[in-house]
Amino acid sequence: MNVLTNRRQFLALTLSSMGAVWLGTGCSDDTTTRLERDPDFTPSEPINAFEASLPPTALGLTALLQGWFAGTDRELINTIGERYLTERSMSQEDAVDQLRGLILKVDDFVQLESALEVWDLDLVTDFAMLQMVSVGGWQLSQTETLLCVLSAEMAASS
Amino acid sequence: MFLDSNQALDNGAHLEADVCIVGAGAAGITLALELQSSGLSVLLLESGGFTMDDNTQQLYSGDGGAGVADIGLTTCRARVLGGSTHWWAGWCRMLDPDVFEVRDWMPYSGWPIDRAALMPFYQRAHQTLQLGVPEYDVHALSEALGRTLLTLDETLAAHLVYQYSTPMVRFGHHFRSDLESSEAIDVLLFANLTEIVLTEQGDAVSRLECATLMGRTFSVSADRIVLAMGGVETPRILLASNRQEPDGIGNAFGHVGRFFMEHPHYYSGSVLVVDEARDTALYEQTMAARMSSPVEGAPAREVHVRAALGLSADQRRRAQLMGLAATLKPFNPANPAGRAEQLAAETVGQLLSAGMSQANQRYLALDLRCEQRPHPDSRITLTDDRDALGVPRVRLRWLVTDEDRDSVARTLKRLAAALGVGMSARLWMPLDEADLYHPVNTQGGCHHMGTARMSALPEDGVVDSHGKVHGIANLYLAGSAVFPTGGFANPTTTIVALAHRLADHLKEKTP
Repeated sequence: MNVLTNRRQFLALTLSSMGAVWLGTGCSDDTTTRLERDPDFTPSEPINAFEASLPPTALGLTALLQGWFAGTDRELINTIGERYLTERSMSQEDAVDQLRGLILKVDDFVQLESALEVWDLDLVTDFAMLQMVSVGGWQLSQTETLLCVLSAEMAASS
Repeated sequence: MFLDSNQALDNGAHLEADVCIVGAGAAGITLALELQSSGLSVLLLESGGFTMDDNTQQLYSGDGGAGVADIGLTTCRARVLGGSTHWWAGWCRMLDPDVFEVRDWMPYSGWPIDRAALMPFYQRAHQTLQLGVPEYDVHALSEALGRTLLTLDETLAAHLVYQYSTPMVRFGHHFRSDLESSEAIDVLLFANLTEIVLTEQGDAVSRLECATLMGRTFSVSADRIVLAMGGVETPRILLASNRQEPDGIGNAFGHVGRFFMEHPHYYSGSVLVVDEARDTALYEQTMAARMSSPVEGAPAREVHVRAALGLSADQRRRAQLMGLAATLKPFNPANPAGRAEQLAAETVGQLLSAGMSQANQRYLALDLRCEQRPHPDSRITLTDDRDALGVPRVRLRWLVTDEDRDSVARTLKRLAAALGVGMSARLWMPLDEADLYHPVNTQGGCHHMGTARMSALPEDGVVDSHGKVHGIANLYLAGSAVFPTGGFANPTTTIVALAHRLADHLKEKTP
């Protein structure tokens, strides 16, 4: 496992012990993501209204989120995203503004790993630059929290 | 030699010595033993005896709870040979260099000496406290112990090291035979200082009035007098000795009793260790490491150490933050915030620990020891109530300011960031500001500092850089009362180092 994957999975550790997995591929006995096993995997889901309000991405938001949160409990991720918005009384419009910057960084990548590496680096940079947010008291990087928000908003709009 | 004041002295007796030290705690005993080979006669007055007794202990009684928390005036000090080392825990660490500096953002900061000036005396203090080599390099210790550390970004935060006095030096027990066999030192037990009397000119101490609880009174004159009575009793007797100066001795500028500082101790926040390969034992308990001596050819020595998380002096300078050390502790019922099971059940906690077996989920409480700013309204005053010997009792109003709390919160955020970059642990901070800044379990560490602060100029403090009271030719103070700022480190190492330094100064002043 390379270092960048490690960083990502610092938050989104593969769940071998949890029943609900996002990709629906059942349990995994290691931290290898489905995308790493199947690099040609390219989901094709219709773009909904929420996704349409964000910058277009070559890879698609669903694929990016699946890559980032591979194997992690979707409900937990979404709950964290919702909680972040609730704790700050943030509207969807405000959330979209924040998410736009996140997505613009990866909008033209065609290689999933390259796109995820950008967010990986952002995650570490957030900590290094003290750009953290508190969710339920946990000090999380801004990037990883916004990815939870993105997941929550995608789920809510689907 | 030990003498019982009740038996060895006639009522109204007058004693003379070259040096009279009041208080046989860490400072007083260090000083006495250092002076014994100087040719000076030393009289060491101790309020208690060899063992604790309640009547003597009650002389401490007063109102210790007028501030943020009850200081426990009768419970965290000891009127007995050895003073409060009778029940200290042995934590030792030098004050960091920034503690001595004038910090532009911190009013009333700055010592009239720097850390370098104290280093030779810190070396001697390490010997006195049985600390072995002064080893504070956490990486060298971790290697010697074969223990890993939490990975963190060392540009943002740092590992800190405490040494432990081992076997713990309880001064009354450890140095009793040295005091007993000394020809230069007379230790007068059950001897309580009740008043300092100045000369007519008011520029020197004429005599000390003393009494015992059995009703004996006597007086002492000495060429040099050192009060080594702790951070509460020292200002108490200075303020109470107002026969000639209505505001008390050394108090021309109103500093005596002010700037009381403690090290706020409390649990605030937690970490979840997410890197299972990382060890936390060194942050949780004392460990013995065998380290080579910095002196060539000298045998290796065992040092007893414990790590903590915090910021280095440079990091604090850059961020304008005060010191803080966070050791790690398993949760216990005394900690009201962030219990492990609550954190583990909490959504983010679930996500962060996902994939880890329950046995590997290490949620640990942050046990904080914090520096605070000197504040003139954090202070000791006298009440109208008097103790059994007629000395006014104290009221202690310990303040913790918004700036103190803000520094803790900002430091914890930096720790969170450093651990985040290092990917070894995640940090949780209490959501409720009352929990974050002012937990119900806030208490002091029985570290009473600052009430007779050291200063270059008389208008800025009570004593000069050697501990001599400004304007009083023969009166010195020893102990943590003279600390202008207190850092986060336990004070005993510095108390002992300053006592060694004062001993050298007094020897130099010997005609």
